[in-house]
Amino acid sequence: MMNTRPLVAVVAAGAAVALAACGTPSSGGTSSDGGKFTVVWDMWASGESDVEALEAQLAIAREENPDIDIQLKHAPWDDYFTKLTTNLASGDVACVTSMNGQRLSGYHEAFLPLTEEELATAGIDPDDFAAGSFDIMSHDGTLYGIPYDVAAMLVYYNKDMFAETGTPEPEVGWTFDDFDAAAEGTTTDEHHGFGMSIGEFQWMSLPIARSGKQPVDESGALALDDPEFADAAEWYVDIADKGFGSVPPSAAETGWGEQEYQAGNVAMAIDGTWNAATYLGNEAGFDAGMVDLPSQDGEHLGLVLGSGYGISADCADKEAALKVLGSLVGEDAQNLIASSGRSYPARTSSQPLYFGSLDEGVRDEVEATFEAAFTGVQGQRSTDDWAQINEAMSPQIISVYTGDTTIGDVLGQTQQQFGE
Amino acid sequence: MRSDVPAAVLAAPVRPIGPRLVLQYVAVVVAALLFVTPLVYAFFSALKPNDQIFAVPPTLIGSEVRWGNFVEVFRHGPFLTYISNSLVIAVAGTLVVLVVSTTAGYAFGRLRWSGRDLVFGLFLLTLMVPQEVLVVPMFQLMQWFGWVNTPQSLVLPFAFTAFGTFLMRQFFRGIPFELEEAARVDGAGPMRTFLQIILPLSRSAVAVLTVFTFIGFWNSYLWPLIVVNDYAYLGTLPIGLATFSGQFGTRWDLQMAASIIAMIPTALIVILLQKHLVKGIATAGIAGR
Amino acid sequence: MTSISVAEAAPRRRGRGELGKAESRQALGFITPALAGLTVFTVVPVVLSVAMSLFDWPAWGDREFIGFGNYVDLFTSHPDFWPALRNSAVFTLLFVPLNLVVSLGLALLLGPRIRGRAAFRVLFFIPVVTPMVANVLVWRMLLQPNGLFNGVTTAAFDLTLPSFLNHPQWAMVMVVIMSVWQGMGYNMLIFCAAIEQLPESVLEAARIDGARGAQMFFRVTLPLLSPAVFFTTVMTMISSMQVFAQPQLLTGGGPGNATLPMVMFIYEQAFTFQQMGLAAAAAWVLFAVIIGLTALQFRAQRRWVHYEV
Repeated sequence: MMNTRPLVAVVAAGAAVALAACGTPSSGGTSSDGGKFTVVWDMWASGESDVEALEAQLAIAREENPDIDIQLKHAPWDDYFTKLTTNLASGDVACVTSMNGQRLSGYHEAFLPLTEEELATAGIDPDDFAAGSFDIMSHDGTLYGIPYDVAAMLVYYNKDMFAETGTPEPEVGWTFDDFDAAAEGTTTDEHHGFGMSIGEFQWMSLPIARSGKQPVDESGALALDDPEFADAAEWYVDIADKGFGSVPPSAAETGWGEQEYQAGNVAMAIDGTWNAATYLGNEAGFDAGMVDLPSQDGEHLGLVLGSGYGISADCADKEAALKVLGSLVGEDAQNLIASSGRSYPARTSSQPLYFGSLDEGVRDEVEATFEAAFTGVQGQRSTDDWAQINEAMSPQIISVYTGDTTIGDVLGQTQQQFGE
Repeated sequence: MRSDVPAAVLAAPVRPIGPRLVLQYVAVVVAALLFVTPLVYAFFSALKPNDQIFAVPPTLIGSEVRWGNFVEVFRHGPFLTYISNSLVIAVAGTLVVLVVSTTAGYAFGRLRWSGRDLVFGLFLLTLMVPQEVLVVPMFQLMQWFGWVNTPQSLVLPFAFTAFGTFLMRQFFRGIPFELEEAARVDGAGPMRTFLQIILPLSRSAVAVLTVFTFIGFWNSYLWPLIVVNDYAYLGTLPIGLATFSGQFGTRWDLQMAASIIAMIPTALIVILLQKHLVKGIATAGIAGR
Repeated sequence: MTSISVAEAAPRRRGRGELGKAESRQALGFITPALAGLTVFTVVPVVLSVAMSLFDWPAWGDREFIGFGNYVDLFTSHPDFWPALRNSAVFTLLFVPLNLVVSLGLALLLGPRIRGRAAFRVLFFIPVVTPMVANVLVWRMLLQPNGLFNGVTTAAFDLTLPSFLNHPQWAMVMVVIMSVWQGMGYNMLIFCAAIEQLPESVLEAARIDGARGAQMFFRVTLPLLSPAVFFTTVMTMISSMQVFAQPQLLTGGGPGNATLPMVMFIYEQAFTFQQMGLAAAAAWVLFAVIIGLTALQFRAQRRWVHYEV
């Protein structure tokens, strides 16, 4: 009981901060508060440790901008975008709003386009950031935000299960045939070789990598029914049909494959680089490994993903907001998130710190995997209603896994519903 | 068992313990056991180490009993905030409902005025509009009021349902009119008769309305889900719990501990107030009279 | 009731005129808070809802009047609308009878001769008042592939149960069972109260006439309970058309849209897909269905509900 005290204090403080942020009539705008401008920073956070990390970044931004009163506001990832919509509807968007690159297409109108002038105000030099990372936060060639991390999808695997079944561990540069063999080899009566998912990136990455096709074509039109992509999706579903994949028990389990992996119930799962540190230190106590997505015919299409911060279009004091933005993606803040191992920073000079945060035993392996995973990547293309498309498709994919419908039908229907 | 005719007459009051009663007991106990299994199993799951929750074959008690799971829940989410928010909102909402329902119920049940039955009919008509139908325009309204993510948006919008009014009116009508008439003759105005005669006589109905309203607010899920943006500030227990489950999907031990924690307050209310509730339901006329 | 209203009406007849006017004014004072609240928070939203349903009304951005376009869209082209309507109907058809049978059965079982019946009643009532989210999470754990249900059958009979929540029919069955478990305690309490108020004289007369067992139940007890049965049927039906949290958290509406009921459809259209106009239109369809069903119930009531002898 004793050690809950500080926690209570943290929670109370967090609540007080949030309360202060929301107590002002318009938490999105800036207001003069004893000579200080208030800038609200809206971010997603899942749980106490995320919040603590954000508060550490907040402290840096505050220190660098003593004349600005910066407030943090956060919601869990699962709710963040619904809530952002709500905020948009009520004209209450935080000046500095976090945005995931894959969702930007649906929200770009809410953000201030960033030109060289804005970048200069924020003190940002695009050359400091990883190649292609600004594409993540761009829509139709216009930049709407500055990335703070870059991510790619990986295959995470349970080394103990590979050893137990005598299956060779995956290696960087492996092929889809190797993947099939690994899924089969690690499947036993006790556990499945692979955790199937219904989450957007988690299920789509393998079909994209296999077919070399994105479900949105170069012109930005939805192309779910592209025959090559559909074939690859069929292959993905077959993992479950063959009995190698653990199938989500309901459409409410949106993170099934990853959760099963984390709980030590399956040998492999797909997830983003953002969870590398979590899996390496998993609570279930297994030895975690990671490798890039397998390749097909020597080709391997991975997508570069990531998130960043934008300035809301109706922010009252854009200059102050830009300065805060500059600090949040500045060297100190980027070094901080890198060295804590929380995400792989977008700022090139901070990236080595990420690997430095890892255990020496896994450092080289992770670095090699990341290097492979970020090679030959494309920016993800998406449509304006991309989030809705995935919301609509998730529960349908469950029915595919259980054999009540086919992936071809699901892709075709979704294409028909959202394709025009 | 005795002679034919009297046995039938006396059957109810002094039936001896027969096979039928034994059967009845068995049925009740079996039903209760089946019924309570999910709750008991959830409670013991909350005490297990996480990796033993889905052990095959299932066990009730894991290798160790971790009371610490109940503490750890508070470390993984702002549950104290959720609980206090839920409490404040439920109390405030209940107060509003009580004031509104008793006053309106009095006007409909005890006062005579032209158009009363018509207005009451319209009141009842609004009862037909379920909350779920109202949430979409209500949310738009909250935006226009600038009430999104504010405490009042959790309290007021659904505090004016006609149900409480209906309940109080039904009860008030059952109070003998002579009691009030006597006071009226003594010169007491309607406010005084309302406060000093009608309300004190209606304690059981008010208690029922209080408890059900409180529980309704405490458990409300759909509306807070829509109107609350910042969970660390205004999250209530149900939406906090749902979010918690989304974030810690693998930690079934903590999910169960959090669920049990969420269940305790209202379960306690019902256990403590059971007599009033049962009596209240009977007398307040919920039983369809 | 009847005798009271007669007694109430009699002395009042004298007070027409001046006294009546005063009383009207006083009544206005008593009724104002409720009237104002209902206007702002029910009448206005209802009117607004009608308007919204006629617009293309995104959560943010430009609105456009499209007449009955949303309704046409719902009935002719939306892939999830008919399934949602169907799912609500299926849920109601399963949930209402099951709930009534179980709750009435338990109420009858918990007769006056059962010791500790008060404790049993409270026990059965607990899930009614505990947060639905918590109840659902408990069931979600039980229904996991290695959860209690499957664990018990596997260990005891070497029988692997189907994966209930991603099976199109089983998922709905489980949502119903979970909902009955959660909600029947309320009706049980109502039936308990009604049973206690059964006129002993009538029951005794029936016993003397030789009524026993099933005959006694169907000929005497059930007709006497019919007002309570009617009340619970109507209320349970209305509440089952409003089911939301159980499918949302237990099955996510899936697999596919197999357990997506109307309210969840409305919620998703409005707040996930940001089509508030379409959602408002769907809400009106739901409202019409509820009203229609309730009206039917009231019409049928005359034939089977016997009010106080």
